[in-house]
Amino acid sequence: MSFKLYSRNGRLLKHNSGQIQLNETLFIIIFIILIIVFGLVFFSQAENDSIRTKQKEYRQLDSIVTTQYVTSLTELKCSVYGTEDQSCFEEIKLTAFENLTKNDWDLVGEYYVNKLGTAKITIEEIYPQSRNWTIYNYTGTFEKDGVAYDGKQTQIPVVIWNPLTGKRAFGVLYLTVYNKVI
Amino acid sequence: MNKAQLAMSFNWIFVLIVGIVFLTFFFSLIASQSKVSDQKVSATIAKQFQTILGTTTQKAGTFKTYSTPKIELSFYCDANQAMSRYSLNGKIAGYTTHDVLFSPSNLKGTKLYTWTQEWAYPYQVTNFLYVTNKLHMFIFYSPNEVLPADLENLLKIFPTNLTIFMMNDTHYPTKRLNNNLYTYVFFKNQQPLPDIILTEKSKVIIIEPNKSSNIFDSGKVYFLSGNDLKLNRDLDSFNNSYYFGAASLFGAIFVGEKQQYDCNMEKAFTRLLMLNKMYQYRTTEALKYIPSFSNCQYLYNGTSSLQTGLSQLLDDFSDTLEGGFLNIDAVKFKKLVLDLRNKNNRISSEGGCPGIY
Repeated sequence: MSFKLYSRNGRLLKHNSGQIQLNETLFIIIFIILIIVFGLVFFSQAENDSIRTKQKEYRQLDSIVTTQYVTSLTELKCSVYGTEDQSCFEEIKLTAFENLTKNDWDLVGEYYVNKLGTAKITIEEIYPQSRNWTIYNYTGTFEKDGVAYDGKQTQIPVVIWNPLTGKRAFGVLYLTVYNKVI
Repeated sequence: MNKAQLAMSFNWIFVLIVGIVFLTFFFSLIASQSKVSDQKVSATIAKQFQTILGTTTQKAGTFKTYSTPKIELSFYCDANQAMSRYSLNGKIAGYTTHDVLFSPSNLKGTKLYTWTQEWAYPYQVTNFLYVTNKLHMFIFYSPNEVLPADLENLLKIFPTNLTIFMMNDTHYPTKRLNNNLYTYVFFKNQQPLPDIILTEKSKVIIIEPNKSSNIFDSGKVYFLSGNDLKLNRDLDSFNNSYYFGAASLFGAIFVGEKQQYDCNMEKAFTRLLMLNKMYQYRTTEALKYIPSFSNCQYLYNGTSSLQTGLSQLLDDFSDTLEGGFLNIDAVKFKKLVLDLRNKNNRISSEGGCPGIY
């Protein structure tokens, strides 16, 4: 098959069928490459979204694990004859724990950083008195690497018990887990 | 060759080259995607395992079964190198620097069993996690139908969902199946031990309790391989370690080798030291509010000649724990545990005097 191509002024352009076929092939190749590039861009975008969703999911999972860990910390919980009381923190232990992390960080620091990560844990007594204990505050190397962090806070109602007087108070545990913003 | 023929062959060569380029591109894309997919599966399993570590250890006494794709899970723990990690299909997937996890060094399969036990010695320290699978067979020896008292006590707590085989002199495993792991559990008083065990890929644990009345309290465990038992040497010439409490004894049975057992017990002892330090601070803090010359103050501070106070006991306990599990003076450690238990009971029975646990 042969084609006749004309210029704007009506003159016949002389192209043989080989040249036209080559042009067709090139056009198809360029078209296919464009489709592939478009597909790859779309695919990588979808992959990125999926990674972001997964990371968010994992962060939430980590946050739940940390929350569970904090509420089950044997060093803070109320205990009588070895029986622990859920969601109850012993007042004397809270102060003792503050002293432990302050004075013996070399011994305990690595353990708590491994278990709790970059986080801040505060227990606030709401009633009858108003006071608070910052039992853990590790922000790692936030400023060094220039990466932004966000802190998601979880609040858990707790009982604060004084074993010397037997009195119980109502409080809230604030757990802020810091994560890198991606 | 005329012009048309030349154009035709040029077209074919062109199509061939472009075809090869396209095919190479798509094959490399498929290969990289398959690799990425494998990595994704590994990462998901690693994360799931990390979550298992983080959550199951918070509740003692739970037995769980997890279904996984066909994986190879390896555990490595060496106290001397302060290194503890696990690998998934040959690649390091995470570190268990502070998790007390007892498992055979290599697990292959699609089903994972986890079990937790609280280690309270003398007070609650941490929960031990045990990991194994269906292909790990625990073989207990009872010469008669009536179980020996020690074994009966052990099996009361041991999870029944695991693969357990009760062996006697006529009924015993005779052939090693693919990937299967065999752990033989004997008591020292069952000597001479039967010579009918599989030597390949089998481990032998021999338990020597300190008290026959309570096998879980403390004692020694000997770690042998299937071949070792046939050497018929003196038991003390084989690897051995102390165990303190039921959770620790089960750790030895699950792990089946000294290096991993010692390493995990070292982690448990580090945690014990941390908690003891914490209780030292708590005692100091409590003493600020305990009235002078009260019974409670005497129990906390002791009297110079009559009794050692809680503060002194905790100080001594910390000193004993400083060397870790590997250098523990077992007799001194056991005595202090007993003293602390008694002291805590005495303090807790005194009104308005808080025990440490």
